Amino acid sequence: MTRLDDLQAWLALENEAVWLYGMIGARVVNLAEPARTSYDAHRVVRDRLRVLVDEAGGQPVGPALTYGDERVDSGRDSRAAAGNLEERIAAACVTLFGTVGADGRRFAMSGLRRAALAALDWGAPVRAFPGLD
Amino acid sequence: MSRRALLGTGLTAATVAAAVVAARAGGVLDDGLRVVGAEPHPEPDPGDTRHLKRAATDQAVFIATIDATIEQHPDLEDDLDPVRVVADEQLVAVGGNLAATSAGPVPTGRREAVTELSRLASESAEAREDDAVSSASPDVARVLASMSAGLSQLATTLGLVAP
Repeated sequence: MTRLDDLQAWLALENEAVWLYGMIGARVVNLAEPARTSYDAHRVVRDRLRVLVDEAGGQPVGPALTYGDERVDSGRDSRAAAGNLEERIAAACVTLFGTVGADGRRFAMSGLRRAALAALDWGAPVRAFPGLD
Repeated sequence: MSRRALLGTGLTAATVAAAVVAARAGGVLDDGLRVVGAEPHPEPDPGDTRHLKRAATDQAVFIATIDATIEQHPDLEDDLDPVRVVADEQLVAVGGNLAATSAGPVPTGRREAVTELSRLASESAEAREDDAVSSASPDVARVLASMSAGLSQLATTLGLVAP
């Protein structure tokens, strides 16, 4: 895997996050507020990653039409889907960490820490090594 | 959801330890040597070795302080035990142990004692990040970055302990 591959893998998950939190916000009333906060945060990261992919000479990966409506059928399902997604983002950040320089590592670390704490907020368990499980 | 329920243990120690051992056996020049067809010399990068030792030392102090806090405030045991389990998993993974480790100071107040543990976890999280950023081996960098995020989770969890 190259740095560009790792950036694209993270970007693909950020596309999924923007979709997922939009869906949760629209479908689960009592999660609308945290979903909105997450939606806004992931849009910022997605946009930054698009720039980084472009600067690295790649064509930024776009979003899928859907990532599975059934994942947000209930509050419990939505929390599980969000926690799972944040843990996958943490894993993408850990992977990227090994293929970039110091500035890239700081950026990956910010994404990793944010994902690890967001996973907790959405009900995922504490991990000794988030993203390395 | 209770903190105990939050604190699941995705057992990663063996996986991470393997990565650390592999990283210790290789050095920053390995990739360059492979490019020119030479077999890398199993020389650990001195900086990475220092980073791992520092992680082990800080983690041992953190755990010793958890133990001292439980001893001084036994009513915190149920809250702190799950934190200790995860912290110990991290300690083992970076090759540390509690031998000859002294606990940090434990405040007499219950709330202050938990706050001090949370502060220790946050401080270690920052130190692991700094070391991860400057590690030569990608494997060591990944392990320390992940450990930093795990310590941030522990600091947050400690912050949820009722006063």
